[in-house]
Amino acid sequence: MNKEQRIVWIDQYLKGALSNEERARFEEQYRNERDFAKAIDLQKELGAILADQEVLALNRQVESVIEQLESRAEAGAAPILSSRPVINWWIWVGAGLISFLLALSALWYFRQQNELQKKDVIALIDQFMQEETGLSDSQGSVSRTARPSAEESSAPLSENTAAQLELLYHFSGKALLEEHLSILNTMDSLYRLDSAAVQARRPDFFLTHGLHNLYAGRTKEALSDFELARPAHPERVEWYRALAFLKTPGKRSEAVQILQSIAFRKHQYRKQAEALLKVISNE
Amino acid sequence: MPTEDPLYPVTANDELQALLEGNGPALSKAIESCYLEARAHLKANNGTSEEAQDLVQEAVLVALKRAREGRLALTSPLGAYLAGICKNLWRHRLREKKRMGTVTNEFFLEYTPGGKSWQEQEEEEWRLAARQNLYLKKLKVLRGSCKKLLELDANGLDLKTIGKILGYTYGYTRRKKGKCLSKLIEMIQSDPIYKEISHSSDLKS
Repeated sequence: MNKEQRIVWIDQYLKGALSNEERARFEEQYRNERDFAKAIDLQKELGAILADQEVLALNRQVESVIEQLESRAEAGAAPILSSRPVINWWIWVGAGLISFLLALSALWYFRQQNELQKKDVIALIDQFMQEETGLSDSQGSVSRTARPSAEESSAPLSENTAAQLELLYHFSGKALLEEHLSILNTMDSLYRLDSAAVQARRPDFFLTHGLHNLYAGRTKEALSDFELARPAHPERVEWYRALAFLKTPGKRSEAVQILQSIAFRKHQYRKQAEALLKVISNE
Repeated sequence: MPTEDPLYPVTANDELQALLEGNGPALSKAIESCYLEARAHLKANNGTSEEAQDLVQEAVLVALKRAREGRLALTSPLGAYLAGICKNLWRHRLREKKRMGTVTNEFFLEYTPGGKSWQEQEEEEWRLAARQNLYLKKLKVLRGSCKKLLELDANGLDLKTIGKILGYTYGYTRRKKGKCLSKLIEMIQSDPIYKEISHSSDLKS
């Protein structure tokens, strides 16, 4: 008897379709063969399930509800779990933490860079101004390239005033904030004491006055001074106005405009303006 | 019939009725909450959605059997009750896999044990539900005509009538039935789960 014949035999027994003789033979085998009982139980249960309409309906109902839930989840409507095995949340938390730290580091780096570039612009301005007015290098030797020449003077200064101006030029390159303020006070006193002499060198006086104001961070006053110096020193005033705007918060676009006008024409500060624009564009 | 009307909330009896009838919104709601709980529980135990679906199918079969035998007295919503069975079924499965420890089961307290111990009785119940679920799963894989033939046969129709319904001759219907039944049993027996949940090999009197 092959497997299929045996299955049919069991099926006939369960349906009561065997003859008495066959039935006796069947029960004999049931008693003697251990696996035969298991095979009968399986077919018995299978027959019961196939005939049980309630079970079949329930099975379909469960399947349909779960199918709907899963399709809703796939469409993103219901936050139910995925069909994959469990996700290790520690990995996600770790990844999130690392991403956060990386973002923080990047932010810090760019801020630092930005600060550095801002410092670079200020340092460059100071350097240009020192070259112009400080007239001193790191060894303290003195040059006088920017000092107003005698030819530029419209009238001779009194000896006293000339000597004091000489001293002021000498100190301006190495001066600290307090010293610039002190120089400005001295210049103001000088203006009051010997206004005639100052008036004779009015553009030079106000250019120097403006530069010390600029050094001291008083950009508004510096810009006023530069306006008074403009007739005799148009290119210098243009350049220092640009530097004054650069040092003034919110006035960068004005500064860039002036620098561009210097950089694109023949101008005594053309190279400096180009250098400064390059630094600004990298910010 | 269960209703969603807030003036007439779904009662335990409605749910039980829905379970026995195999339809209704109350049953769908219960299945949904049971499935979600089963999935959450399985998530915490490295299970999959397929296992959760199996657990729900088996829990429903267990609940139906208890309801038919008058052993199901719902003191909580059907969904929570089914979820409780799912949890215990899962623990039972884990224990079967690990072959260690004992399973704590609050549902043991629901009925008076017969000749067998509570554990034996419940294990038998769970094994039966798992086998029934396996049969249903394999039945779905079977070809439509085979499935129809076996269902008609199980419902007590004679082969001549079945042949007429399906448009076969008597001889062909008889041969086809043998082949379909044989195929279905072969699929069931070759499933690795069957060995774990098959009947005890003790001889029956």
